[in-house]
This record gives sequence, structure tokens and C-alpha cells, in this order.
Amino acid sequence: MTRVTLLTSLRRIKPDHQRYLGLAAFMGLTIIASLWIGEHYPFSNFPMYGNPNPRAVDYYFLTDASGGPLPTGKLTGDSAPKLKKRLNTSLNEWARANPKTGKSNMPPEVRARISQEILDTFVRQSQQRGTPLPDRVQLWRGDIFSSPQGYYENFTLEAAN
Amino acid sequence: MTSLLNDIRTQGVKTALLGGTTLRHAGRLEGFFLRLLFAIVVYISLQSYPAYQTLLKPVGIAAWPGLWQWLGWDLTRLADPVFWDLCLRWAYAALGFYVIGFGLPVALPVVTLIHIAIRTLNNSQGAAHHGFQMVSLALLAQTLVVWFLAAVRTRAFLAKRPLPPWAASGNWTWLWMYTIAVIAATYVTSVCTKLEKSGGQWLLNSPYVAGQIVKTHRQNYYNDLDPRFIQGQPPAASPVPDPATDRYRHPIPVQADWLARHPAIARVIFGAGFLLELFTLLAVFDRRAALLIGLGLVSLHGSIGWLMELTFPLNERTVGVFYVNAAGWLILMIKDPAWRPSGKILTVSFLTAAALLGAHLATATADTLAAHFLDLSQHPASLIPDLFNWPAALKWPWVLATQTILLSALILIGKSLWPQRSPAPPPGEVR
Repeated sequence: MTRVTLLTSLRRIKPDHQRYLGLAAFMGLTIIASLWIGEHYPFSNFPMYGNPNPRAVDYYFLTDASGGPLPTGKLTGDSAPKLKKRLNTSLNEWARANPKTGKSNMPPEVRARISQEILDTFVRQSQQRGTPLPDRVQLWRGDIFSSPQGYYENFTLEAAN
Repeated sequence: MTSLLNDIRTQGVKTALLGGTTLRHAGRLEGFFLRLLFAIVVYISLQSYPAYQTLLKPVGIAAWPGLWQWLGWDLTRLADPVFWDLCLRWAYAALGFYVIGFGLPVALPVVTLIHIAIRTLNNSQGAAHHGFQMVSLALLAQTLVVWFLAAVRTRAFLAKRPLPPWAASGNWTWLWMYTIAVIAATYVTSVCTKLEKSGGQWLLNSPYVAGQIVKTHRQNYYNDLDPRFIQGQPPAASPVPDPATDRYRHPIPVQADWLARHPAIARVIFGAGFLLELFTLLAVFDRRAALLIGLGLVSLHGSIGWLMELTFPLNERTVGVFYVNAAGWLILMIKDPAWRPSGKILTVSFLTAAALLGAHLATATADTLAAHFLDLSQHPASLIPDLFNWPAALKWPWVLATQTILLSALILIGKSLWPQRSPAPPPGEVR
């Protein structure tokens, strides 16, 4: 009965309005599905730059043992932003599994282990594609701070081979 | 094919090909161009081959263990160049059927599956890349549309009932509109996430994006050590050596510096992009809304490219095909006298297009803001592979023609939104 009433009501809507109703419903469902499913390709909630704030912005890069920068893309086949993305994925995964500690209170030895694992995946990848990273390679984190006087940066060694 | 021949016999070539195109509908020839141009975008995106041999963090279909157990293999099989070559052959054959508009309920799922599979392998490494989602989602939406239409047509055939006009052969409105809708949904999803993650403070806090601009320039530099991203200056330690601080101090990009010093203007600039993303929903209204929003989105991506050195070429090209849709506008202008530009409009549009092209050629080698916005690689015609490597005698007339059509369309849209007043009646005439 309800179904018949609903269909009858829908049929009474002008064809142009039916079309927009259908498109609106489709867009609504796609948006809800994308937000609910999250980062599961082809869906995504597109979280990039979603929360600008005054905290330091971090980025990661590779150097040789003497600190000379290495071209991440040319040697590993993956762009430099993927260093950060992969590390964050693993750190977030650990934080989800340890909700009491969380990411901010993560023990330094856990972070060091995860950073080392990520560095190792890039080393393996560079070997597999025939453009190996040097035997001694370092993973650095740069933190960009903004202040009324301008920007300044700090650097921390995250992992080394 | 049979229906095309029937329509040509009964209605003539022009009506059969152009007849269905209106402000809100896509006819047969427009449908062909939409499919041809989108097939080029899909082809370009399939050239990117991430041959990962592991699934470090499986996502999407890669995270369905039951499926792979049943198949007896997993997505890393795509890393085998021989198997991937076979997949590409299937994809190209299916794209051929897609372009001619035959067997879509089978051809589209083949392309969709292959496209989603290879990008899922890429995104299953613990690092999501967002440059291909729009193409995959557009393919997925089109698959749903052609399946739905196939079901409606089969039902009508079995019941021996006539097809409703919207499901008739040669009407490509659904494919066009639902692709526009799914593209709009991706932008609005991004707005929802911004609001959710920032606690509704995104616009207020948007000047802090300036710090991210510094980050993207640094990351681009470390990608292949291109000194362009550190303003041509090689990395140097600070005068007082300190391995922990300022070890790799590079110049701050001028854009980031300027935005940080002008937070109110930064809010206006980022706010405009935010609102444009939100109002992308309105593009489903008709082709006028789609063109205006499409040009806005292409400009938005161009601005992000300049500010952050982050480009989304496939998104721009997909928006270029379905939103800007120069081919659809040309067909509407030929078919409908009400949308045919006068000689005056065409002249003004051509001269403006020529001036834009001249300005581009004059600034092509300069690294300035003006040069960036005149860069024709942002042009909707750039979706043609290697267009800008074509001989000058071919590429510039092509660009001029496309620009002229689009500028004429913009003038016609303006005229349609502000109808001219009817002339005042002569004195003494009774209305």
C-alpha cells in the first residue's frame, strides 16, 4: 500500500522535477557512501588539507649517510609525499589498536620501529625496481612552524640503515 | 545502429545526429563526443602503471579476502607485465565499444573493473593517492546508468511497450548528467570532510594552509631534487652548523609568505574555492550551470597547481569533458537557432581568444602569476594527448576554435540570464 502510494506520488511529480530528484538522491547517496566508506578505492572522503591549524606541518625526506638529499621519486618510484602517507597510515593503525595510548603518547621505541619498517619498505622497493638507494640511508622529518616573524623549520632523524 | 539508420531515414541526418541536444539533454552526436573524449581520459589514466608486488595495506576490493581466495590470486598479479598487458588489451577493446556506443552494459564494467583494480593496487601501499578516483567513480556511475537503462529497455521489450523517451536509443542525457552528478559528489564530499575535520572552522583557519604550501614545495623538491621548488637555490646548511635545526633551510615560497602575511585575503581566496566546491551540486541544473562551474573548477585546479604545486590533471580533464563540454556547445549552436551566436558575438569571441593566445605566447617563458593563468595546458582542449606537441599550424587553430566556442557560449549564457528589454512602443501606439 505504502509502495503504491509512494510510486503514485512520484509519478505526479513533473518529469523535470523527477529528473532533479533522481540526481539529488544519487549525489546524496554517493556523498554518504564516500564519507562512510572512507579511504577504500574508488571511494574516499578526500581528507587532504581538511583541518588547517597552527600546529607544525611535518614532511619527510631521504638522505644518504652524510645528509645529502636523495631523489625519492627517481630511486623508489614513489613520490616523497608517500613517505609521510605510509608512515601516517602505520602510526594511525597502531593508535587505533592502542586507543588508551593514542598517537600523541606513542612510546618512542614504537615510533622508531614503525619508522624503520617504513624506511625498509622503500629500500626494498628501490631494489626491486633496479634503482637501489645507497647502502646507508636516513629518513628525516622536517617540522615547519609558522609564527608572526615568519617560518622556521626543525629536523629530526626518524630512522637510518 | 539500426535505430540510427531508422532515424536518419525518417528524420534526416541532421536531426538524427543533433536532434536530441538541448540545454538539458545530450543527443546522439554529443553522446559520441562525450564518450570519445572521456575514453581518451581513461586511456591516459591507464598509462600510469604502478607495478607493486605487495599489498602492504589492502583497501577496497583488495581487502575482500573471500573474493581472492575464491579466485586463487590477488591484485599483485597485476604487477606481472604480461598479465597487465592482457588487461590493457581488454580495456582498450572495451573502450572501442564504449566510443561507438555498442554493448555498453558489458564493455563499461570491463573498463571500470580494470581501472579500479590497478588503482586499488596503487592505493593498497599505505599511501592513498587521490588523482584517479574521479575517473573510476565516473566509470562506475556510467556502468550503473547503462545497466539501469538496459533493464528498462529489456522490460519494455518483454512487455511489448514503447520505450519512454528518456530511455530511447540516441538519448545520452542520463550518462552525461549522472557523470556530472558523481563528479559534483566528490567535491561536496571534500567540503563535508573539511567541515567535519575542522569542527566547522575550516574557513576561519584557512590561512594556515600557507604552511602546507611550504610543505608541498619541500616534498616536490625531495621528489627529484628539482631546484625550481626551492627557488633555484641549492640546499645549504645554516651558517652555524646544527644538525637538528635549520639543517636544510630552503627559501620560503613567495605564495606561502604572502598568504601568511595577508590572512584576510587568504580567507577570501580559499573561501572562494570552498564555496565553488560546495555549489558544484548546481551543475546538474543544465549545460549553462555545468559550463560556468566547470570553468571555475578548471581555474580552481590551476590555482592549486600554482599555489601548492599539486596538480590533478585527470580531474581537470574529466571536468573539461563533462562540464565544459565544448563539443556539446558547438552542437547546440549548430542545431538550435536560439543558441546560435551572431556574427558580432563570434567576432568578439574570436578576437578575445586570439588576444588570450597572444598573451600566452608572449608570457610562455616567464615564471609569473599571469603566465601561469595563461598557460594553455590548463585549457579544456589539452585533454587531447600531446596536443601541445602538435605542429603550431594544427594546435593553435584548434585552441582558438575551442576558446571561441566557449567564449561565445559564455556571452550567450549572459544574454539568456539577462533578457533584453523589448523596445519601447512608438509614441501614440496603444499596447
